[in-house]
Amino acid sequence: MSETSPSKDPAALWKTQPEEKTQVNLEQIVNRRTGELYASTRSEILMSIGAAVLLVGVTVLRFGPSGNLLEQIACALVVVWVAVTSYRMRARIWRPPARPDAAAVTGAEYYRRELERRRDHLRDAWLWHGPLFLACLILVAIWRGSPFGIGISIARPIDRVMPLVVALALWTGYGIWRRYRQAREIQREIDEMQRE
Amino acid sequence: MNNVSRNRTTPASPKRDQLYATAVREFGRALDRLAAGYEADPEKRHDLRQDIHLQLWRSFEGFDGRCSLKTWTFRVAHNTAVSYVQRERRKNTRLVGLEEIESTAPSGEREPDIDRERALQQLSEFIRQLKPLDRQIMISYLEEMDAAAIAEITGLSPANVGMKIHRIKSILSSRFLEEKRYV
Repeated sequence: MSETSPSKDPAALWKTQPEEKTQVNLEQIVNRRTGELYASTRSEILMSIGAAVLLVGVTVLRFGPSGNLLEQIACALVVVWVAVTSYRMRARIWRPPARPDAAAVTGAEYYRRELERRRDHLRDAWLWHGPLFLACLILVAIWRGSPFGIGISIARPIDRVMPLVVALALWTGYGIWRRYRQAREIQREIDEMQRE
Repeated sequence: MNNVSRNRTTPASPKRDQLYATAVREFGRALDRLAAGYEADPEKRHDLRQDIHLQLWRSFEGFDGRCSLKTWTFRVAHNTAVSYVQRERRKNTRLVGLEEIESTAPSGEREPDIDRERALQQLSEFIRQLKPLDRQIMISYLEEMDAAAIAEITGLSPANVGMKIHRIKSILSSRFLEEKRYV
């Protein structure tokens, strides 16, 4: 073996390593990323709707037949909220992703639209997290001294769940903040694409 | 020859596409080697290469010519690969620095001629255990970039890079027999 044998010369060895066999195709990469964005948005929406339906079910079962006007109003508000948000999001659930080679739509345009769709989804954080956050705040308020005048009789049971409610409120607040941050990052990417 | 392919539905942006095509033509093979320095598993490496190409393509929208195309390309590629390493780090063993390796480098235990494939495997494994910044410097050094170019890519001072290169040379010479081509 000569002195300049690649096995003795790290840089020569490094630079003469075998070529990768698999191809890197930019179109595939962009489409894959678009598909990932679509899938994650869709699954998040479906999970959110599932959670909302569960919440509606529990709320109606628990507070619907109570006869307390305030509770029935709260129950109705929850149902309306779920109906409105589900209606707003229906297009994002069922709309199939546009084909990248659809008429006059370039891969970049296809990708940009998916980014916009995800950004809009993330910006809707308050639609899903807001009522939960509000509910947590109301429970905390009741626990703290019932400014609404309705919490005296239920203050004692709330004591037991208050740590959970506070944790839920913090988690919800963090979720909202995280979603807005992700939305800003996506907006930045969209802006970069539009500068051309 | 690089094997990046595109077709007519690929996103169109003349400036970005042109820069990307040039970068891939000139540095495509080096980018493949760079990915090999960050990931051993072929399938994961393919994903990493795709990520690098995607980020590179996206990045050229902001390319303003204040640094060379080569510097820009490797900066983006390394940054993407480093992010990948950080993501994968939870599953991997801990990474070490050049200083630590140098202090534990075997002395006088050089192996005789080993076959090329095994030597490459050893070199790759060695690179992949390095901390990200040291890995950037090592890979750039093996790509025969000088200290100034490596400094521009990594953001370290040329003096600092020079010191690291000195360590790299010492480690390589102790582990891979002769190491004399580079300054």
